[in-house]
Amino acid sequence: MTMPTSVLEDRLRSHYRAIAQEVHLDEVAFDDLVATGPLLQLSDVGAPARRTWRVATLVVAAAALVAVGLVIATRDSSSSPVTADEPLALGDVPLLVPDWLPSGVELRGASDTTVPELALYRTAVYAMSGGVLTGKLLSVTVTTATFASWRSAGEPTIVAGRDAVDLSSADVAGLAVDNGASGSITLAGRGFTSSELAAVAGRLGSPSTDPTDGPVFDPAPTGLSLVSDEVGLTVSRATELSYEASDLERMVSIGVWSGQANAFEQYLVLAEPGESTKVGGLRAWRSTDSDGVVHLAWELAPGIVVQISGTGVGDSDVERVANGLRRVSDIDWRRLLATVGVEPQKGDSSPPPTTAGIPITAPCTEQRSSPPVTVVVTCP
Amino acid sequence: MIELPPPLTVLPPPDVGELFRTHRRPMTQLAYLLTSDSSTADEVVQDAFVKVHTNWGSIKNPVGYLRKAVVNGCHSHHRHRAVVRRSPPPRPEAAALVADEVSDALAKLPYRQRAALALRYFADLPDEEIATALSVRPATVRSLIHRGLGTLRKEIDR
Repeated sequence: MTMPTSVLEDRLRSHYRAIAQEVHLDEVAFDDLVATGPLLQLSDVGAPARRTWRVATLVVAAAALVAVGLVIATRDSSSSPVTADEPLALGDVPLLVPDWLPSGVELRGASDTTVPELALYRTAVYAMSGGVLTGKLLSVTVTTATFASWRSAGEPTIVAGRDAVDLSSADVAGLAVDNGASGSITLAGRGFTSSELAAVAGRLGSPSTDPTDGPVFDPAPTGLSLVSDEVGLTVSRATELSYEASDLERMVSIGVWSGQANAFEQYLVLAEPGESTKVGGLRAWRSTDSDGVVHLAWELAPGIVVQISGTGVGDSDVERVANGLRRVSDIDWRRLLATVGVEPQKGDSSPPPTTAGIPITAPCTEQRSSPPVTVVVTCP
Repeated sequence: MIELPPPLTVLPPPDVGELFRTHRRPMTQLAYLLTSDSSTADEVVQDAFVKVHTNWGSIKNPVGYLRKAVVNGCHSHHRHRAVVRRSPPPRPEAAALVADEVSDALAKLPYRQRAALALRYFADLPDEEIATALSVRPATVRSLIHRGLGTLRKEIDR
């Protein structure tokens, strides 16, 4: 029998009331917060110098990636995007700023985080014969992170007699599986249901983080073939600039991070449905999420991914931002960050477990202070 | 070593303080419903008040602006989680005790549907104000709520 709408509405109201009761606030006056900061101190451009969650997420994103064979991005011209043609030092990212932005948006937040090497990851990516941009994509990460660290990240389940945790979201099926003394294995599948992914995971043996010990799957899952199998230590560096209009109707963010050589394949596993495209002749992926936010990401170089996200702006605006990026010097970069009260940070963190090289931070805790931004991510 | 300039501390106009006293709790509750994380909710609301303070002179409807800033802040949080983490949102503590199935069903909705339902059934806002907070048309609000309720019903009836 179908539940009447009025009953459902009453249940929702009761649910919200009960949840809202959980909010406990310290008694504090707005003036006190501003006067004693740092929570509400304002930067010299009158913008909030707090984007710590972005820093935190980028910290953990970077922590799961490793820089391999990186190349530098140099400014081509203002009418074409930065391209990659010179070597970068390990873990570097090109410092990119926009030459053009939609009218009315101003720099409101920034982050720049470097994470030390801490753990070993191996990520294998499997795709259909058509390539990585369309169709099913499967990413398997073997990590030294213990299975216990996953327990709070999802619903417990059993896969082929092994302890597992279901990490699936609405868009991507995900699993973490116990790998015994070696740690844990995570799988993320684009185009897979949870049960299909569990069936694939059921075929897993006990792969090591060393590809020379053999493939993760032998043979590869039906219909898929191995397109990359990368090993690396955690790294690395991630930057983000956030621009917003004062009425909050339009926002643009520019994120750059370095990781394993197959970082772009890993990105594609988790990206929203979209279409392949090119940015400056480089392979790219354009998508629009369920909230209407336009994302354009491309592989600037092996291991370096750039993503432009636009809220309240069109595809053409996002493309124009992408095509107008230019590289700046470290000094100019620091000056830019200083305008929003941020300075580059060396993350003091341990890497969280990952799916597809993209970490799930549920097992981790964060400590925050700002400005300048300080984020410490602590994982079991 | 580059010396970074110290941030400029500015005291807010008195009315922002009053807005903070009267709306901090309901806005934090709203943010908590949308993020399922108390520290994130607190941070989003603080950011929202800073935006209000920064733009105080040009804001015609401070409460509406504040609400939009909170909803946008939660949206950004949600979007980043989606891109970076792809993990199920943590279940609010009370939900585990009070209404597991409602909490689980809400977690499966797209962000805008969840936000529209919270603004309607928690904040008791009319279509027009929800539309302003979500930057959509009132007709879209009705559609979001209709679809959200439909999905909830299916999930709960399972």
